[in-house]
Amino acid sequence: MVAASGQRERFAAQVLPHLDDAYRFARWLGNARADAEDIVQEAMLRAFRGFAALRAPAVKPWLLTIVRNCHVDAARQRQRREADRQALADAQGAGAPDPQLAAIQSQSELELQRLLSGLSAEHRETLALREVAELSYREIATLTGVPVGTVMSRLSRARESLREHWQAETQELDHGMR
Amino acid sequence: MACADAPQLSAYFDAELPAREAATVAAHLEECASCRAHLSSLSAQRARLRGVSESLSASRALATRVRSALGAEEAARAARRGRRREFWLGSLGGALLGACAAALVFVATPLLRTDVLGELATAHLTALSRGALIEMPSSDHHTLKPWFAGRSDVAPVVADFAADGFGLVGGRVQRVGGARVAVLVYRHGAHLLEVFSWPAAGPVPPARTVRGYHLLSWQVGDVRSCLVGDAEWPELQRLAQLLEQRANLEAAPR
Repeated sequence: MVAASGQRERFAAQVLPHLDDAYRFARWLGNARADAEDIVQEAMLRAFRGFAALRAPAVKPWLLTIVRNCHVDAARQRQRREADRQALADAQGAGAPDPQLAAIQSQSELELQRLLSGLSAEHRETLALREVAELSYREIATLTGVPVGTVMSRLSRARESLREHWQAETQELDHGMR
Repeated sequence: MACADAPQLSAYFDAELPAREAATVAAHLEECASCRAHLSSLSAQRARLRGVSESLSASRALATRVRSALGAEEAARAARRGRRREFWLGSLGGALLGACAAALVFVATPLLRTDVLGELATAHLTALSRGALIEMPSSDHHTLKPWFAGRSDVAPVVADFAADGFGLVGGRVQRVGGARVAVLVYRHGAHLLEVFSWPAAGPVPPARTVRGYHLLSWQVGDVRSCLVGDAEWPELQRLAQLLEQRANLEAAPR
């Protein structure tokens, strides 16, 4: 019993401080707030169950790997649910409510949506791991299962497309002002 | 030098270029205003991304939810341990007395331990017969290794030994006893061999044959592995040796 609660304390000290990182990463993967929260909770549970066996040198990349797995599992479930709902909606002749709309609540939510819409899923993920989670190329390579060279080129391309995206946006704004 | 290309500049910005290459880029930056402008646009971009990101914090409600979920998980775990203890105390106290009980404990303990191998043989057989061997098909370390994180209780050694005649086909996670066991599937000629890995301590059981399947166990650190298959013993031993060597390499402090 003593050992078990000691483990909980170690988990609280080593893993829980990365809660924000986990949540942000889940959001960057394109999940709306409620979905991201579910994913993070599931990831923390799985992390807790696997904590005793953890031998990875760094906690953060390990936790983010679990978040990524949970995201993949959740997306699969959602697809199944979505298909069911679509079948139901088709049968009733009504459109499903837009879940994205509910997620857009504040300025930063809007900005995130805008950022995400300009990037492919791979670019989004790599950029988030580098700029938001501040992982090294090697850590990102291990986590996403690609060679370091691919991480390097993905990052560069993600940055380029984001730059173009923003330039276009600024031009639109300028036109709007005139 | 000519202007740095975009990937090079982006890696330079992340301080991920090898020292010599970084020095060349740095020297070029001194002279080239357009590359300097590119670099400063990268840093403006980073500031904007982090700005957006920092405004997205996990809510206090989420932190509370996670804490209570962990508490519930721990309570459930403690309850399971308690039930197991009660079961043993109950069966011992109810049916048997004194020396008889002592004899039972003496006999039951090694039985329980070796029966793990029986369970593994059964797990292997069921997977074979249901065609549910592989959840994640891949021979690639970079794909399989991260896939196991958070799914199994250990991070297993993932290595393809196709050159030695043992090609990695994929992996799955299977519940055996109370553990979420990591399973790697290898093809060797016409045989399918499986490596089960889970956290364990104590003596490693001797090699055994259950219903025609050989079982060969080893231990590195606190990870117990068991190779199951119907190939010949020397062949199993060769794969086990390769895997154990790799595990020892990976367990070595860096």
